Amino acid sequence: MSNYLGFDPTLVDLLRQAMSRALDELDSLRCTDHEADAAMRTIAAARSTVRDTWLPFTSSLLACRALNGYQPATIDPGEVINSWLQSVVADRHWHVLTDPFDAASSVGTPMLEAEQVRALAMALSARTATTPLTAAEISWLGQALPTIARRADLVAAFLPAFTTTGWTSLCNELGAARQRMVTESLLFDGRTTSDESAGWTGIDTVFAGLGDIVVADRSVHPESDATLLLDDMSAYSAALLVRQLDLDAAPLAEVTRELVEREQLALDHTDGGARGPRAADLLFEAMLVTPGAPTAYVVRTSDAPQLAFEASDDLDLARRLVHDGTDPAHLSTADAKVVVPAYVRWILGASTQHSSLVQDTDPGLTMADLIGPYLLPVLRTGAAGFGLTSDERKGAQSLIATDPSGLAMDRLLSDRERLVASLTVSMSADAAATLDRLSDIADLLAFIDTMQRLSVIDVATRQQAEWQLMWTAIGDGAGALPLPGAVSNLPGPAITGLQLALDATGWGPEAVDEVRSRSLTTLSAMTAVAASIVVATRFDDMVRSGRISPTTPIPPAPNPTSTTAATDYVDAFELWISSNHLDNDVVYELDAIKQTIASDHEATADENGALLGT
Amino acid sequence: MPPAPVTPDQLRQRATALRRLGSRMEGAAALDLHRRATDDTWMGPTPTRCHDDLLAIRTQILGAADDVRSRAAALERQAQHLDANGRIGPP
Repeated sequence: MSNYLGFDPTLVDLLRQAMSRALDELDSLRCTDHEADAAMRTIAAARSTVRDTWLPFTSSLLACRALNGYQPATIDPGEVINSWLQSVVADRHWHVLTDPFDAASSVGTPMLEAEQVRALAMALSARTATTPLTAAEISWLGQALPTIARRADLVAAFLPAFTTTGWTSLCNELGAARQRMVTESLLFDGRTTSDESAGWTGIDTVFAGLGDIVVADRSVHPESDATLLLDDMSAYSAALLVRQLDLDAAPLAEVTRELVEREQLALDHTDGGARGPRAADLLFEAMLVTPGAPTAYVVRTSDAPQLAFEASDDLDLARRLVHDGTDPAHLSTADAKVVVPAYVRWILGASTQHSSLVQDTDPGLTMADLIGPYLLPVLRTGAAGFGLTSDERKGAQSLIATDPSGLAMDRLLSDRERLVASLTVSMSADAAATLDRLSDIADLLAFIDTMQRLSVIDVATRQQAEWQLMWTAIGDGAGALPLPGAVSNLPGPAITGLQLALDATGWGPEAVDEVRSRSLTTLSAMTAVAASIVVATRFDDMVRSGRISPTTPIPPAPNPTSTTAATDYVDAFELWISSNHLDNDVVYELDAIKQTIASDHEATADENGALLGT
Repeated sequence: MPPAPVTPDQLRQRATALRRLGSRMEGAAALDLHRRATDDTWMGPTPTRCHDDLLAIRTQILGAADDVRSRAAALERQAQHLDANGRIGPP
C-alpha cells in the first residue's frame, strides 16, 4: 500500500528558512572548555541531522524535484487509512507526493481527533466497490473503530458523517468477502480450520468495531434504531452487524426473521448456490447466547416454521434453536399451544411433501426433540390436547417410532427431564390433585409404551423383511451359478430344509407376531410396575402420617416377568386390601390410585394402540 | 615543569563561559523547529520522522545545556573552596 506525503508549500518554506537560521545559530555556538565537550558533540550531532537530512529534504520538496520514491500523487476520496490526509489536502489545497518511508508507523496511528474521525467516516461513505479494501486497511479499521467507540466525542463525530449508503457499501463488501472465504473453506471437507478462520478474523473485528460504535451511540441516544441501517444490506452482511448490536431477545428475533426471509428470497433465485454459510447461521448462534431469543423466534415464526428449520445451513443448529426455544422453561403454555402444533405440522409436511432447502435426513429425531416435553398435550385429544388431528398424532408418533436410525425413540426416552415436563400437576397431599397427576403419569407411560411397541414391531418387520430378502437373494444367486446339470433356479430341498432348520433352532429374526405379543406383555408389566410404585409411595406417606399402622404388611410387588403381570398384580393388591384391616378412606384412596394408573394407562394405551395400528 | 596553579578567578571565568553556552543552547532556535514541522505544515511518514527527529534534537540540546550548567556550578563551588582555604582544591 502506498503512503502519501501532503504539504503546504508556504509553511514548508518557512520551516526550511527556520532550519537555515537555526543552523547558523548552532554554527555560532563555541566553547573551548573541555567541560563543554559533551555539549558541543550534542550540538554537532543536531547540526548534522538538520543540515544533512532535513534541510535538503525540505528544499527538495520546494524545488519540485522527484526524490527517490517521492512522486507527485493524488489521494482517492475513498482511501481509508489516508482519509485524514486526503481531507486536509482537499481543504487546504496541499501538494501530495508518494512517501516510501516506513508505512507501518502511519498505519498504527491512533485516531484521537474528531476531525480525523469525521474524515474517516466521509472516506468510508465515499468508497466504491471497485477498489476492495486491502488487508492492511481492514487491519487498520479493526484498530481505529474500537478506538472511536471508546470515546463519546469521536462517536458523535463519526456517525453523522457516515452515511447509510456508506454503511451498506462497507458491510456488503466485507460480508461478501467473508461469505466467500467461509464457502471456500468448507468446500473441501465441510469443516473450517483455524488457519482458514484466521482469514476472516480481521473482517469480524471491523464488524465488532462498527457494532461497538452503534452500541456506544445507543447508550447516549436510547431512541435510536440501528436496524434502519440494515435495510439495503445483504442478509449475510446485515447478520454480521446484527450480532454485534447487543440486541434484546424480542428485537433480535424480529430482525432475524426479517433477514432470514430476505435471505430465503435470495436463495430462491440462486441456481445451485443454496448451500453454504448463511445469515441464519450467524443469527441463530447469536440468539442461542441471548436469553429468551430462541423462544421469541419460535413464537415469531409459528406461522412459518420453515424460517427455523430451513434457514440455517446447519440443521443441528436449527434443531438446537428450536429445542431451546420450545423448552417449557421458556415457552409459556399459551404460546406452546400455538407454536408446537404448528411446528409438528411443518415437520410432518416436510418429511412427506415439501421440497426442503435443507434436507432433514432424520425428521423423527427433529420431531422427538420438539414434542418430548409436550407429549401429553400433543397426543391427547379434547381440551387437554393441542388440537392435532388423529392423522397428525399418528404421523408424529410414527415418525419417531419408525425412525430407521432408532435415534428418535432413544432421544425421546433419554431426555427424561423434558419428558416429565408434561406433568404439570405436582404430587401433593391433596388427593384429587394427586390423582390428576397420576392420570397424567399413566397417560404418559401409555403413550410411550405404545410408541415403543410400534418401534419394536417396526424393527422386527424390517428384520424379517431383510431375512426373507437374504433367502431370496441366495436362491437367485444359486440359480445364477453355472453348475452343470442345473435346470432350475428355484430353491431346492436342501436350501428349504436349511431355512426350516435355522428357523427351528431360533436362528434369524423373531416373527413379527411374536414381537407384537411380547410387547403386549411388556405393556402389561409396565402398567403393574407403575401402579405398584405409586401405591407403595402413597403407602409410605400414610404410614409416616399415622393413617396406616407401621405394623401393616407392605403392599404387594408385581412380577414383571409374568405374562399376566397386570392381572396378577390386581389380584394380589385386592387380597392385600382385604386381609389387612385398613380404614375405609385409606382403602378408597389406595384403590383409586391403583385404578387411576392401571385403567387410565390401559385405556390410553388401547386408544393410542388402535390409532397406531399396533 | 609542573602546571601553574589554578586561581579562583580562572575557575569563575570558565564557569561563566559554560553558563553563557548553556543559556545560548536553551534559547537556540533549533529548539523550536519541531513546532514548525507539525501536521499543520505537512503530513506523512517522512514528516512524522522529521518531527520526531527535531523533537529529539530539542531534548538532547536541553539535556546538554543542563549538563554544562551543572559543570559551571561545580567550578564555582571549587572557586569558593579556594577562596575559603587559600589553596587549590580538587580539579
